[in-house]
Amino acid sequence: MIIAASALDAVVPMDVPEGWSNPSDVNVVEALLLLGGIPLLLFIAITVAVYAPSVVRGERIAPGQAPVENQWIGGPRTGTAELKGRESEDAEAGGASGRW
Amino acid sequence: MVDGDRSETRLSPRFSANDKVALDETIRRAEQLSRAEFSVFVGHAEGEPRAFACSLHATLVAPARSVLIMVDPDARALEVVTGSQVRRTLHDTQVELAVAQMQSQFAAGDLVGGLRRGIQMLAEHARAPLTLHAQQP
Repeated sequence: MIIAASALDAVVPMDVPEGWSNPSDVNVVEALLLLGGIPLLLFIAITVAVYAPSVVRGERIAPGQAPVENQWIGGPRTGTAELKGRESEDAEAGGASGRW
Repeated sequence: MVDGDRSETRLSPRFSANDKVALDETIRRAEQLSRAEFSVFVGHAEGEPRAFACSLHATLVAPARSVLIMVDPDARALEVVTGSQVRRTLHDTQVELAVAQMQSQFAAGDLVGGLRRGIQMLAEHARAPLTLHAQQP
């Protein structure tokens, strides 16, 4: 095996070919910053890109469904604060019900 | 329908500004067409949904000529209450048709679309029938 490697070395030299750069060894700290920092920056950038529009619009970004907020279009200004009792209901009122 | 399927089509209980504009426009047209007052409540029904919807309807300025649509997205409850004057032209069977239409769109997760379609249907049915020669002496 060693003989084969030596023979190969004789045929194909293992030196850096002419014209190629010969950079110095990479520092461990630089390697960690490069391999860990760039993905981290990408993660932060994507997160900001996803959540920033919702935050700007004032929407809720927490997980789970927001509690139902009463919205009454065409109702009194007091909302449901002063609902009238059964005695003031229209006795001949009609309508229909549904569930889904 | 199993609970897992139900949660996938949960209605968004919060109207956006565009949703409110669209609903206001639909209500305005419905009121012009039918001469009835329309009101839409989306929120939590306290107690039994029908009774709560009736109390909301009674709180309106002119309950007799008003139509109230109440939707509780959590309870998946839909109630339509029509006043005594509105019932002269808008019968309960016609309301049931509109309710069925709204139910199907709510089940598909389209709250605003269902409300708009339901209001349009109710207004079309509530419109007083045309009377020939009504303007002549």
